[in-house]
Amino acid sequence: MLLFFGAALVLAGILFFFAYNWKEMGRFYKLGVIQGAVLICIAAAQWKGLSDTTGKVFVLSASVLTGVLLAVYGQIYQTGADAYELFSGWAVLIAGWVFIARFAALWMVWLAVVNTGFILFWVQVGKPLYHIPYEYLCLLLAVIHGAVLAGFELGTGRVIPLPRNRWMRWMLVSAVLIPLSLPTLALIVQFGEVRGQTVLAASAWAVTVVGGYRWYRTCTPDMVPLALIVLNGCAVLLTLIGKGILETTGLDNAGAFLVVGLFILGVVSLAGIWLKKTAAGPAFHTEGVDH
Amino acid sequence: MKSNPLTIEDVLTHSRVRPLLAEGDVDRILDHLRVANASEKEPVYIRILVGIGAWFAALCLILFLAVASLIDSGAGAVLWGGVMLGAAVVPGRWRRGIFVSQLSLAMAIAGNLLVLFGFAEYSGFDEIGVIVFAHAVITLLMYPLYSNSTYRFLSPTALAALVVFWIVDARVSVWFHGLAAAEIVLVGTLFLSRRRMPALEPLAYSAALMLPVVLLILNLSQAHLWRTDFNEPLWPSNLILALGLIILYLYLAGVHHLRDSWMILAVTATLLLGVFTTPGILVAVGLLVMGYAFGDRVLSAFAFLFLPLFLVVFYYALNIDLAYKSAVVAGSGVLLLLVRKIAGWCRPDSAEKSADPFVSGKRDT
Repeated sequence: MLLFFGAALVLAGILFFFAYNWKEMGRFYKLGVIQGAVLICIAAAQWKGLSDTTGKVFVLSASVLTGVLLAVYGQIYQTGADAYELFSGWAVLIAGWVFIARFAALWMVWLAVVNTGFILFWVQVGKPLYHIPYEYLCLLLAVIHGAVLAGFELGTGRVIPLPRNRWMRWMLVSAVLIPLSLPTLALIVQFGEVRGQTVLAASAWAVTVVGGYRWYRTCTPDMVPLALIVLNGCAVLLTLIGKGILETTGLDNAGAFLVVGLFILGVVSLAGIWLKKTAAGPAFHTEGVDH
Repeated sequence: MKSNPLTIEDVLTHSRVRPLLAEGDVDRILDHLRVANASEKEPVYIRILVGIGAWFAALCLILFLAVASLIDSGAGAVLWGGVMLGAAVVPGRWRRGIFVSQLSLAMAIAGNLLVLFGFAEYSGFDEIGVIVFAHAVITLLMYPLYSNSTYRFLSPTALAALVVFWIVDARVSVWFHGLAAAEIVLVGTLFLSRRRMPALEPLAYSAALMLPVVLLILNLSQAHLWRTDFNEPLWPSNLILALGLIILYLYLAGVHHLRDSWMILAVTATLLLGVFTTPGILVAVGLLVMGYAFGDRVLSAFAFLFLPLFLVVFYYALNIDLAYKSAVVAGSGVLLLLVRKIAGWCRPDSAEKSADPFVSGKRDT
């Protein structure tokens, strides 16, 4: 724990220092110091070995410092490049380390960098220049997270050497569901303005929810992803019910709000009862249960 | 041979197991199990699901009353709010099934919000102090009467949040330290209590959540977000936190270890951190130590969640230059790494005990 906290603070301190942009420090000195630090981290990781936590933290440090190096490069040579290029370059450069380190924290850092890169690409280039709809961005992010999740569930170290932390699974399940839910909710709320890509994303959401539910109920029993999927399903279903009732009766009908409130209580209660029954089933009386 | 099934207490007090445990471990494990057994049986994910559902249902209830023109005045809102709070207490005491508990929670949330709205209207929406006072009274009344753990967590959390708004609104930023001190005392008293009542569990987690939130907002006040010049010094909170951490170490290890080299190291490092670091780092370390000592994942998660938030907020604080911030943050990190290294030399067995949540995914409690 102290190792993680200490390393995180030292890395943050280095980041703050280079953001300070000390004028008296020459550009070659700046770049040299960071590159030297990256090399030292990698050498230390090699020395400690990747089965050791300290070795993994050194790889994580080298990966973060690579981003600092690119940022300082952009600070020194004002190339006018868009910010997404920094993140995409960073993601590509550290991808190898991410794969070999088998370190959940590093995977999360990498996914955060990849996500930021794609989101910035859409904001800076995709939307303004190519008019790419946001649904494609959501689909892309869900596919990336889904691929890592599939590697996590199926790979077991052979195809993609992933760590086996359950919190990483829970985060990945959320990261698949959230981007797919946005177009699905939009499809319900703005039904009159439906576009093909919105239907495509909503279909992907439906397939993911059904497939995910079956997988975490039967193949890899785990209640937390099931609860996330059910919660997500409730949100979509209740949006549909609420929209239907309020659109039919109008917003000035007090009774409609009461009915919607009762529907919320009913649907969520049913979901809770369903989850409790599932958790009491034989499949969950094993390692997969986590209350 | 014993005819009854073995209990955990039998195992822990067995002559072969007893020497393996440190002094106080048996009591601590039994207390932990007692609290866990006495708390609600619903899994956390169902409580979260029910809480979210109840929140939205409460909004629908309020909209129903508003559209039906039943709460067209502050007095009407207080009246309906009081009725709903009372109605929440009755089914809440039955604790029969998810639907009833969710309905009672929705009524409690809606009733609470309506009473606060009523008092806010009465004061012309100018006096946050009136709302704080009203919510404090509701919390004091409802906490013992209404046994829903989600409400017992949300209500004190909202009270602390309202006090923060009050401090910001009244521009008396020195009270941030007072609020942080109150939260530290609450966290310390509740988590370190040997015979903690299960009913106080939600209050303990609420205080553990709001302590870093209060300090985060104290740090945010340095970022000139509200276009006010707080410039409140951070050292009082640092001092309180450092003292709190030292008391925590003494509690966990026992006063008789005060002269041990590793205890001197921990106390010295904490005092050093108290002198030069930001309160956010100290509180994250404190939560981390407590989370590890009590095997409490929630406290550890708070620590890991708030540390990056503090760093981001600290980065944007305008009253300190980046070079100084860099020295503070990196210096704190180096100090923690040094403590880890030296502690390893002082206690060779400590390395084996270290838990790594990122690698193992499970931890020893």
